[in-house]
Amino acid sequence: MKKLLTIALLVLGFTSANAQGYLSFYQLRDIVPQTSGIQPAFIPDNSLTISMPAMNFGVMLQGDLELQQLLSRPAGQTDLTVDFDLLHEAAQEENFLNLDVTVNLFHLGIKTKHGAFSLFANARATFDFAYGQGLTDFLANGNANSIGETIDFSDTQIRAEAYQEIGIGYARKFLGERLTVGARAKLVTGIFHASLADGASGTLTTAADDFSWQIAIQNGTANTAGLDLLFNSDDYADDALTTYALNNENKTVAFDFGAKFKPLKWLEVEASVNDIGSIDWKEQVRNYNTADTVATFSGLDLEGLQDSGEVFKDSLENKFRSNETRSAFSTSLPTRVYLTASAYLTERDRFSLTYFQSSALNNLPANYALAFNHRFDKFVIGVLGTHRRSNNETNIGANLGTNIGPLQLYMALDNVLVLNKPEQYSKADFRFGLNLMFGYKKWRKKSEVANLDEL
Amino acid sequence: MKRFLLACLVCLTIAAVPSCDLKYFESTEFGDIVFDPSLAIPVGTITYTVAELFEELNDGGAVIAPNGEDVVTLTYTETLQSQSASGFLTVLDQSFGSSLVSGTDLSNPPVETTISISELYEFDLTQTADEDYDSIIFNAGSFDFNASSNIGADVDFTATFISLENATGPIVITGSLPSGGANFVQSESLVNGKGLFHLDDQGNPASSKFLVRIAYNITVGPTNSITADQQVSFTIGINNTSFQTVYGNVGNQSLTVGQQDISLDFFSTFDSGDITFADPTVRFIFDNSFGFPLGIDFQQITAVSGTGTNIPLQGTVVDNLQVVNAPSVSQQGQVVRTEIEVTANNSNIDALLSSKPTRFLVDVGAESNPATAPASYNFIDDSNLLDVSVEIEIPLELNINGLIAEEVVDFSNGDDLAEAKRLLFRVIAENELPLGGLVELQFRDGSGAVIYTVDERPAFTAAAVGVDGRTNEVAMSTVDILIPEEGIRIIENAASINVVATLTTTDAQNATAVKFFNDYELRFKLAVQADVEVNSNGN
Repeated sequence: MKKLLTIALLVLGFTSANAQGYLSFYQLRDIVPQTSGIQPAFIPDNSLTISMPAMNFGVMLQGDLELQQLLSRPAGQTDLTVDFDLLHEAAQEENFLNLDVTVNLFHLGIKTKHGAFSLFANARATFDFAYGQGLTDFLANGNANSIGETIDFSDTQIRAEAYQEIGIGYARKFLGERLTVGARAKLVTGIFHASLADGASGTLTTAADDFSWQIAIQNGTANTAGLDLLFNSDDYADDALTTYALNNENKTVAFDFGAKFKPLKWLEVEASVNDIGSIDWKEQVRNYNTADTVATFSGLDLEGLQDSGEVFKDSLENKFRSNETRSAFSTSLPTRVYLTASAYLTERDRFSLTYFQSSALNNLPANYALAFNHRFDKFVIGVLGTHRRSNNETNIGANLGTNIGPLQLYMALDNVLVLNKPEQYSKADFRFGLNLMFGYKKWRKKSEVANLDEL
Repeated sequence: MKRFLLACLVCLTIAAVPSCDLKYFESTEFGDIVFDPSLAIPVGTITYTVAELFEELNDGGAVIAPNGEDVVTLTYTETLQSQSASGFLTVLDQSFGSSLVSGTDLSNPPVETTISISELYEFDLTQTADEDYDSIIFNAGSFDFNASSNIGADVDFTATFISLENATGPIVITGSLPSGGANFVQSESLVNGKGLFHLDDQGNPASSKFLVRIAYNITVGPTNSITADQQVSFTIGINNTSFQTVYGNVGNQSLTVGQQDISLDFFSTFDSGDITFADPTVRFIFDNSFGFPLGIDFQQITAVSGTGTNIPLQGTVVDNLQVVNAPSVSQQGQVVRTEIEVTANNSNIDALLSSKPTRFLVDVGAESNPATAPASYNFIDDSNLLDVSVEIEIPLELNINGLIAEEVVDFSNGDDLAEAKRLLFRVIAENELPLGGLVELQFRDGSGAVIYTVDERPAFTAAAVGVDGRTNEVAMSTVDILIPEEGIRIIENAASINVVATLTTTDAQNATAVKFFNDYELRFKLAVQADVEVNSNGN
């Protein structure tokens, strides 16, 4: 039966799955304490956990196109380049590119009789970019293919930010351990941010007769924080960036909530909502604003024209009223929702289906993962297949958590095949960590305690 | 332990499934990013008024401005000047002389005896032509008087020059001629001197008469003897004079007026085809300060066509001597202006301009006191001149039929085309002018050889003309000019563009002349669809 399920899962993975961020890591559950960052109701199996400082990290890069479509190699050449024609060919009506880098700076976990406490600190950086075919068509073909038509850039969204968080978490079991509820509260300090304002939109209409441009811009504001400090560091004291990154006014309190419930012996359902909160960006803020405008540009007055390039640029810019302000703004943290249903074929073999949704950008598609894990005494291994939508390639993921003495090593990949010809894949997801884990025996049934003499 | 080994085996198996293959990223660098879109760009608009449009065909030789009817008019202006007064009129050196006999025989009188003799002489001045002098105010020259005697006694004489005055009145010279002595010689400056030649020896009005009275006394002593035929001889010279003013009549003589070669660069743009002007005018403006009328002869006015053919001005304005008025004596020092217009009504000026002349040779002949002018009293000052302004006034009321105009413009934008792969220029014309044009572009290299040609195509359409003579609508037209990559590569080496335009006015086939009013505009909107290729290192 196990073999059958495993084979079925692999077949599913090869045919319709694509990897997705941290879903394989999610399957490590209560084996790895850092999973409480995505499901606060996970309670580790040991009494005391201390992470190896800065030795727990994850990187997730995901797009809607293969790497070789983003970084292409023209035939007969050795250098890589960006081929906008290829990008456009690969583009769908709506496209996303996401990058997440997470570093667990510190984690201290203490298990109690009915639950667990945790103290943690993380640093995170995300880049999320959404674009439509209008943008790729324009980059690849210009506007000459759209004469007499409107190119709509309004579905372009961009958001990049970095922040650090420090917080505490607590999870507790109820109903005879059938129900576990967890929550984390964290102080989030924003460091860098750049995003287009909500509702930012732009269109370019090229007139059929004289090619004149009608450019419409609404809510044309780009909000940034910390970037001036980053890019114009010469204007600041040497330690200004460090001081700013550690402590500034861009603070908020955010929460993670999670719960898991086992209504049947073989069935377990889980839900978590992470990163609930918003950052009020107050320090190092720069807003680049363009007033709502519908401008028609019909070219220049060619009479006596000198230095046409500069005049063209100035004339176009003068159609718009732009300014730079330093007004505080607020952004919601990219809330992440995980919903999981697990079927236990045995106590050690779990078959689970996970739904993941991020709110980093509007309309980000949900992700689904189908996973199988087998648990040994101190190890867990698993394979999974994930799915976001039908345009991506087929992948499988894998995860491993093992304890060697007090040292725990874990790693998880949503896409293990990325190691072989990574240019053929559209995402890479890797999570790795080292922890010091103490006090397993206390929480095991005596029958589960291994007799070393028998080994 | 067995399970641990199993786990390791599973992990290794999973890890081994995809053997690592990173060849795609081995030994490679990130090259230039190539951006090769096709951009549709509204380049801009250029608007020509009629004046500006024709200014493009004019190298600055003409003034382009509306006339009283608001029709744009080309005006070429040149000036000519006559010879100076002193060049026109020269007072010749004058020389007169005579002898006055004693008329008495007397030998050794017992007592000293005095005999007095007096005579008034009238001489005629010598002129270069048929001029008559009433008076001359000199500003240079000399008056020379020489007297001698062969009388056998001492002579004391007085010469009164009635026709020559200085500041104190008539010049009077007295002197002695001793018996057997030397001649008497005396010179006087004529600066500020005045010659009065308007009376004869009878006191009657006359011209060019020089009057002098010679009187002398002979003192005959007891030792002297004289005879009746002995005499006193004298000569009078007026030499090296120049005048400040001459009154009288300068007669009929030619006045040289400078000639001008007027370059009509407007026409040099045109090649074959017809152009006919409805109402051209050549206006001569004479500013005359000479105190006599002038007859003007236009027989030496010629247009030189682009092919080098000379076409003389003809017509009644040429056949008849034209009269330029003069200031009267009471207007001495003033300038009297006379305007003479050469039009299609009195000449063939329209035919001259239709020949698309590149030059206009103006050589005006002038003569004083023409027979056709009323007789008038003359004067001439040394500062007098005849200034002539020539205005060739060409109102743009014309008919153009297939007229080919060529204009070479510098082309230095070849380097800017390096990134272009295909260019589609769209030219949208909004034309209020009653003038349409087909345009051909000839790209030339540095030696002038045509290296690429954009074939002739309609660039702008002539607007229709209403009953009031004005265009009543804006004629719209669009033309696309496609230059493929191979053409662009050729054009990159071009140094100039020869713009060849074939122009035709509205209803030209029916010989209709249309007016180009000053408020007409021709607007070109230029757009381009450019296939470009730009890479990230700027090449």
